[in-house]
Amino acid sequence: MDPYKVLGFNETVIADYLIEFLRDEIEKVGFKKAVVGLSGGIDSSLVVYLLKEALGKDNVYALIMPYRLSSKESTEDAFKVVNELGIHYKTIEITKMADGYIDESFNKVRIGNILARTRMIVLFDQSYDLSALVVGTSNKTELLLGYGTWYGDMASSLNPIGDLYKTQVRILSKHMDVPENIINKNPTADLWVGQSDEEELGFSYDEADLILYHLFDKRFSIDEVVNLGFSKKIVNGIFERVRENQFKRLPPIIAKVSRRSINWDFRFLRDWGQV
Amino acid sequence: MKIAIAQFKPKLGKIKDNIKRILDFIDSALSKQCGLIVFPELSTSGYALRDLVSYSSIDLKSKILSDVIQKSNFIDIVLGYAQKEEGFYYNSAVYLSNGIVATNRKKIYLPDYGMFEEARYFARGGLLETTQTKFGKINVLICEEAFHLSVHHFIEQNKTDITIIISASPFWIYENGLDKRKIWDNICNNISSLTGNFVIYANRVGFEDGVGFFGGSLVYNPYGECIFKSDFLKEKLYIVDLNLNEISHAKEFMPLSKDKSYGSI
Repeated sequence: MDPYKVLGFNETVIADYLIEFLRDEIEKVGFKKAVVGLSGGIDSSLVVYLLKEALGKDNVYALIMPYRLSSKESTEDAFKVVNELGIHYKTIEITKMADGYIDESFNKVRIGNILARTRMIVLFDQSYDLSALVVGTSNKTELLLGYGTWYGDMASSLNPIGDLYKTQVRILSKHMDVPENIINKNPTADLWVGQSDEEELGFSYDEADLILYHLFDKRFSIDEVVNLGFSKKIVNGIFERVRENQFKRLPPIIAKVSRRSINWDFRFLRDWGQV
Repeated sequence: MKIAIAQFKPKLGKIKDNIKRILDFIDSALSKQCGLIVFPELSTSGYALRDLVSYSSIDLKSKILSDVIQKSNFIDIVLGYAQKEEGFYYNSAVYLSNGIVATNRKKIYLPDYGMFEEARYFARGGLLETTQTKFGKINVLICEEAFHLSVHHFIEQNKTDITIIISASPFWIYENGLDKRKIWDNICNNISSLTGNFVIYANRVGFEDGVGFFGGSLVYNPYGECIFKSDFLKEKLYIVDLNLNEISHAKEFMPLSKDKSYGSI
């Protein structure tokens, strides 16, 4: 099964739709500008390409936030994007901030989470300083798998690609003319040297996207998905990952005491009162 | 007649675990010579199912409930569960007796206001039913149904003996210092005193994403007196002794339905 066929869409329509989404949702809350953490990977690159179309290059700020162990290639790719689009950027090293807390006893997962959360602190502080909304760059595959840091890279005000699988991010990136090498390189969270998403997850994004799509968009049962030709172990594993990470996709649990508890019976959109 | 109220704490979406624990509660009630055990609403699945409804509903034709049904050869069982039938889902209750399903009721009034989303996920049932049992005529009501006066009217019209209300009722407080328990107290009091029924109210316990189900199960005798009140929030099997002779005595004291014009005004 070819994920690019199964998950394909009309790129022009989706690009127009997401650009209008960004313009509408950012401007209605009184902002003109956006700030994005730009890693040099495909997700954040696609988001700044979309933002440039939505807000104009003068209103887009890319923050490049390397740590001492970040790969040079990532940073170079980030600069490539910035130069190509002509958007504003700032390079803010997070090494001092992060190393101020990390010590040698911390394992790599802990350190990875700290780096993601340190970048979140910088992003939201710059957001305040620049009067620019933080635009998120997590895709649907990562969000469903919980492959992200809670209150780290998962934190944002709005996210144009959170309902696009990795495959769809690639399709749209091609359409938006994101540099080829960024589209084709091996996906990495770059939280430690040599990290590879697919190695760490234990399956490829092509597989994950097809499995997730059938499990949740099409509401197939686990057995039905296995019958499409996927390994039972991987399908089960992916289903369990999605289940276990549901907490990351929701706000904290509040003890209901009153008749009208926030998010249970006090229900408003974020767009409440915005024009 | 001894009855058991299982103030049960289901695990959300964990059907097998829940049924295993339901069987344990039944065994425990059997060992105490109870004739009837009552489980709360949606005991097999938990309450706030949302999209879990498709993973956590039971087709009565499947074998999932067969062990529970088998136990009803020895004790009558009232059980709330999420039912799957012909592509739709129902918030249902079964009355099991003599190894068969005596009644399967699908909840009619599905709340969809405030925090409730039942009508979004469940299809609406069509009928109230009265079940003839070895203990008399029994109505089984599912939570919100007991809030409707038309249902109280149905109970009167059917000259039933025992009303069983199963619920997954969440806790909250009111401005006047009262809380949710008071509402159920009033409802059970009204039904029992106005219809000469025993009222058995079984509410679940446990939290789901911050919503607390408070327990506080109740038994009212046919004179409208509360004869049993369980603990707040505690998962436990409670045994209560009912003197079924009180039903006819109470109906003699308050023979409201002897008036032939009743119900036709």
